[in-house]
Amino acid sequence: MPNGRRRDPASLTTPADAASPVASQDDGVEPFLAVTDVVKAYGAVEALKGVSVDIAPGEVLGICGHNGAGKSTLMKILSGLESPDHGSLRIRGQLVQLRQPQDAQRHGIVLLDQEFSIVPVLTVAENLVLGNVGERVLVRSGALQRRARELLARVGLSHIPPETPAEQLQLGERQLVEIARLLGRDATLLILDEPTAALSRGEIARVFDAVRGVAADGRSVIFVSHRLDEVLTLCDRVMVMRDGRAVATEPTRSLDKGRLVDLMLGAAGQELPAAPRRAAEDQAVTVSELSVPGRVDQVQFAFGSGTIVGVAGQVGSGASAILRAMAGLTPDATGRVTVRGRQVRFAAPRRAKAAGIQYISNDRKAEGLFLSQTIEGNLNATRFSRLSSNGWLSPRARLRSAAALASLVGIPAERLRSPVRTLSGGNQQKVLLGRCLRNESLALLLLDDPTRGVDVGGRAEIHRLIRLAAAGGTTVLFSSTELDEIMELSDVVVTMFAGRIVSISARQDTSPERVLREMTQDPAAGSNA
Amino acid sequence: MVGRLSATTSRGLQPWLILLAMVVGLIVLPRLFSGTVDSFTVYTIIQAFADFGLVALGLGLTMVIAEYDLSSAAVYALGGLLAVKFGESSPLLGAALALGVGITLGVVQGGLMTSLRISSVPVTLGGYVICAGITSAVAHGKPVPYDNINLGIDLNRQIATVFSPRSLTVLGLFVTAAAVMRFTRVGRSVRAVGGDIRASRTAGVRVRATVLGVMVTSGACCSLGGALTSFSVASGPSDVSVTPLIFATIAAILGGVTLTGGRGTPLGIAAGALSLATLNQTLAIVGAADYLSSIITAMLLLLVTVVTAPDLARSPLGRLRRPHTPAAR
Amino acid sequence: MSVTAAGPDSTTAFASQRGDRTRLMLFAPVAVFGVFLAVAAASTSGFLTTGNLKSVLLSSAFVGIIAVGMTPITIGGNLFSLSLGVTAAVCAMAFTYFLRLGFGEAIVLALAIGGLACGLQGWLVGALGANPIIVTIAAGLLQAAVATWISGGTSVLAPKGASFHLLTSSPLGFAFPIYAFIGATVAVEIVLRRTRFGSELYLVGDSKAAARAAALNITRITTGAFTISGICAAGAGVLLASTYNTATLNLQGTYSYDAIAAVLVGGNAVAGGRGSAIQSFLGALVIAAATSIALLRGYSTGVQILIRGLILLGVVVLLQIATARSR
Repeated sequence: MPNGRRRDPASLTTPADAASPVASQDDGVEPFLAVTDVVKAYGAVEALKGVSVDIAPGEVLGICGHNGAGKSTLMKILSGLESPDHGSLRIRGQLVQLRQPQDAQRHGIVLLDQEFSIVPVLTVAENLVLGNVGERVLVRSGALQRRARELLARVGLSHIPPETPAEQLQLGERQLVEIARLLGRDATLLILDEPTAALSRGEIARVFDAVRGVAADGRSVIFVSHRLDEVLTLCDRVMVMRDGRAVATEPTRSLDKGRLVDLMLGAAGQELPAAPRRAAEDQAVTVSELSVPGRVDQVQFAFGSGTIVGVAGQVGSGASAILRAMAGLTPDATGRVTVRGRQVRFAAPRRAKAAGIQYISNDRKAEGLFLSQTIEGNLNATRFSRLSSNGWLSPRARLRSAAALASLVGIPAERLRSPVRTLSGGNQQKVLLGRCLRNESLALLLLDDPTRGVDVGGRAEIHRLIRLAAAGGTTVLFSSTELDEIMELSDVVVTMFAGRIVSISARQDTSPERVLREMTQDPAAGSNA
Repeated sequence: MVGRLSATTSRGLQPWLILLAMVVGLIVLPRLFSGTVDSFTVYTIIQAFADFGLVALGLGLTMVIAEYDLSSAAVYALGGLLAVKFGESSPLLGAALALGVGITLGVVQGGLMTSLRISSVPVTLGGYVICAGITSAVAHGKPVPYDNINLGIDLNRQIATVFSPRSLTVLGLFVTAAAVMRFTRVGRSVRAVGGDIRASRTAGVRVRATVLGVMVTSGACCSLGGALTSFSVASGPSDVSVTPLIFATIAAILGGVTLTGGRGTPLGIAAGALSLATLNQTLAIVGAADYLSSIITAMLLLLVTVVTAPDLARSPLGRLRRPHTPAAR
Repeated sequence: MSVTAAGPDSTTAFASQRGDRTRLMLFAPVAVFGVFLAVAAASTSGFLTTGNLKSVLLSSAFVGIIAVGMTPITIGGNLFSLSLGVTAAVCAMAFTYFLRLGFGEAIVLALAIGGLACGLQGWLVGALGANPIIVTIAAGLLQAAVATWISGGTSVLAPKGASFHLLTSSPLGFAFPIYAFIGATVAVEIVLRRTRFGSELYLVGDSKAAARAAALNITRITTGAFTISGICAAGAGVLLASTYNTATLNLQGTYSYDAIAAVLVGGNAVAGGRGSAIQSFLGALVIAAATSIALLRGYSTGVQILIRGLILLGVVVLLQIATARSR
C-alpha cells in the first residue's frame, strides 16, 4: 500500500535527480527493508564486514561497487539464498529470517538472476507465469493471454504476441520477459542484478520505464549495476560498496560519475611499479571488423608477439565474446583474425589450435577442466598427440610431461595422480595454464578471466605464469574486471563497453580511474560530469 | 512477425503432413501394384495403431521431458500377461492389476531418478530386465491362453466400420492426455522441464513431481496397452519383444517429439503412430517383404534423427540444452 | 536430451584431499556385494566345481566380448549401443557365408563389416550429435533387415567341409571363446590406457564442452569408439557361428541388453569419463556367476533374469549413492 511518497506520474520520464528526493529515516517514514550491520564470511574471506542500509517503499536504490565489494553476497542474503553470520533484516519493522528463496518470495522480495530462467520452448505467455505459486491447475487461455498482454505492456513489449515461442526472442527481450514475470509476482522489493548487461539502448529504456512504474506503485527496487550513467539516471539514492562495506549512501543529486568512481576505487589509486616492457615491433595478432551478433560490434586491433594485452570490460562488454570468437567457439562471428600472418577461420577450435591459439574459458568447471580426471590427465590434455608416437602413449611419457608442467606451475609432483577436483580454484586455474606452457608453437594465448575465484596468492602465481608465456614470445590476451590485475599485468590496456572498444592504450598512458570510467560509461552517451 | 510464426507452425504441422503423405501413399501405391484398399484396410490400420499406440504415448511423454523409458516394451508385455493370467474371472480385475503394476514400476523408476538424480537410461534398463524376468517367470515359458474369447471379440468389434471399442479407448486416452497437456498447469510443467530443466528449477517449477508423474504415466500407459492387446488376442505373451519399443520410438519422432525435449504433443504422437501403422499396412498390401518394410522404417527414423541432430549446422542451437553455457561477458 | 549426458548435475568441488577416502567409498558397495556373492556361491552345491566354473566362464564369454567392446562407447559419454547383439548375429552370418573364400578371409571380412556398420553409427553420433540410443536402434533394425534380405530369410550354412580350426578347440581344457574373451579385454584395455585415442576418449566422456574447447577431434574419437564395439561384436559373432555351426539372426538372443548390463554391473559410469574394460569383464563374470547360482538352485529362467535385473538396478543405485557422497 503506497504511502504519501507516491510519485507524480509526470516525472516518469525525467531523470531522478530532478524529482523530489526520496529520503529514508529523515521523514520518520518506516523503511520497507532495514538492513543492519550484516556480516558474512566464507571461510577466511570476509565478504561483508557490517553493511547497513534502509530502503523506503517506492524507492529505487542503486548499488555500485567494484568486484569483490560484496554486492552479490548482499543480494544473495536479501533474496534468501544465503543467511548472514551477524546482523539483522527487518521488513516493515519486523525482524525476519530468510533461510531460503521461498521465504523471501513470501515477503515479496524477488531477485532477477543473472542466469536466465526463461524456457525457450514455451510461449511468452507461459513463461510469464512459469513457477508462480498459486497458479490454477486449469489453464484458462483467455485469462492467460490477458495477463500476459498486461505484463508485456508494463515492460514495453506490447508488440510481441503472447503466443510467440520464447526462443524467437532476442536475448534482451527475454530479459524483459523475466522482469515482467517478476512484476507479475506482485513483489514489494525487486532486486535487479546487472539487468541491462545484455540489453540494447531501447530495451534499457523500457526497463527504466518498468522500474519507474513499479516505484510509482509504492514498491521498492534495488538496482545493482556497474553502469554509472544508468544508475545516476534511474535511482533515487546510490549506495557505494567497497571491500565488504558501504562507504557511502547518498541521494543521486549529490553525486556525479567522477565522485562515484572515486568512491568505488577508494584512496587506493596507488602507483603500481611499472616494469619496463619491450615494445614488440611485429604484428603477430591482428583482428579487423570482428563482430558477434548481439555481443561485439566491429572490433579492431593489432598486437606484437610477447605483448600482454588486458581487455577490461564488465558483464555485457563483449570482452569474453571476443576471446571466444578468436578461439573458434563462435560460429556466427564475422570479421578477420590473423595470427603470425595466417588467417584463422571461425569454424572450429581445432583450426584455431592449428594456428597456434589456445583458449582458457572463464568457466573452468564446465568448459575447462576434466573434473573426473587426474591432475596429470588435465595437464596433458592438449598434448597427447605430441606425446604419442604412432598412436602409442606410454605412461612414462605422460608422467614426465606432467611432472615438468607441474613443477613449472608449482604443483607438487606427488599430487599428479589425484583427481583435479581436489585442488583449490587457484591451483585448478594453474593446471589450465600449465596446459598451455612448454609449447613452442603457441602464438596466441586467450585467457578469459584467468583469476576468477582465485585468492591473492594464487593470483600472483598465475600472473607469473602469464609473464612466463609472454616472455616466450606468445601474445597474451586476457580479459578481466579487476582493475588491479589489468594495471599490474598488462602492457597494453583495451577498455570495452557494450560490445565496442572504448580505448587502446599502453599501460603507462592510462590510470585505474580512466579504465574504470571507460568500463562503466557509454562512450556514445557523451560526457556529462 | 510472419517469419516468426512459421517456424513453430511448421513444426506443429510436421506429424500431420507426414500422416497426409502416408495416407496418400496408401491410396496411390496399391493401385500401382494391383492391391486393394477398402474400409477394412482402414480398420486394420487403426487396430494396429491401438496395439502399440499407448506405448508410443507413454514413451513419447518421457521423451518430451528429455528422458527415455527403456522399460516400456517390458511393461507392455508384463501388463498383458498379468491381465490375462489374473483376469480369467473378471477382466476388470486383470486390467486393474496390470495398471497397478505399471504405476508401481513408474513410481519406483521415477523415484530413483528424482531422488538420486540418475538418468532414466540405466534405471529403466534395470526396470526392463526386471519386468522381463517377471514375465518369463509368471508365464513359465509358454504363452498364456485366455479363455474368455468373447472379450476379445467384443473389444475388436467394428464400430462405425473403422473403429473398435479398443481403438476408441486408446484414442480416448490420447485425447485425455492431449487435454491435460494443453489445458493444465501440468502440461506446461512437462514442457518446461523438457525444454530447460535448469531454468525450470530456477523459475520455481516443481521438477521432481513432474518427472515422477511422467514416469508413472508411461508405466500406466504401457501396461494398460499391453492388457488391451492381450485381451483382444486372448493370449498373454511369454517373453518380451522389442517391437513395441521400436514402433513407439519411431511414432513419437514422426509425431514431432524432439530428442532435445520440450516439444511434441499427444495428438502429434497419435498422428505419428497412425502414420507408421499406415506405412506398414501400405507396404503389406503392395506385397513388400518384411525386411523391406523394416529397411524403409529404419531409414525414415535415421533421416528424422539426422535432420534434427543438434550439431548438424554446428550452430549455437546445440548449446541450448546441455552442456551448461558459460556466461559470456 | 538428458539421455545423451546422463549423470547428476555438477556439484560443488571443495578444496580437500580426500582421494583415498573417495576410492574407499566407491568400493564399499562393491565389496559388500562381492561378499554376498561369495557367500551365495559357497552355499550353492555344485557351483564351486571345475566343470561349473568353466561353464560360467564360457557363458560369460560371448556377452563379455560384446560388453568389453561397448565399454569405449560408454566411457566416451555416449551411453550405449542398443544393437550390438544384432551386429554380432549379422557378422556371424557374414562369417559363415564368406568361409567359402577361406578361413582367414572370412574372419577379416566379418570384423570389417562389424567395424564399418558400427563406425558409421559412431560418425552420426560424433559429427552430428545425433542421439546414440535412437541411432543404434535404427541401425539395428537396418542391419537385421539387410541381413534377412541378403540371406533370403534362411539360415546361413557353412560350406561343406569347412573347418573352424582354432575357434572350436579347447586348449588346456578351456574353450577357445574364453581365451578370446580374455584377449579382447586385454586388447581393449591396452587401447584405453596406452594409446592417444584412449586417453582422449576419457576426456571427451568427461566433458564434451571442455573437450571442444581443448580442440579435441570429437568426431574421430567417437567414431573410433563405435568401431571398436563393432569389431568386438563381430568377433563374438564369429565365435557364435563356429559354436553353433549355423548362423541366423536368432543368434542375437538377448546379448544387446545383457552386454549393457555387464558394463553397468562392472561399475562403469553411465555419464562417461571413467571406467575400464576390466570392469566390464568383471561385470560379465558376476552376471554369469549369479545366473549360474540361480540355475543350480533350480530357479526358473524368469527368476534368473529377474535376479540379473535386480543386480543391475542395485549396482547402479549403490554406485550413484557412493559417488554422490564422495563429492
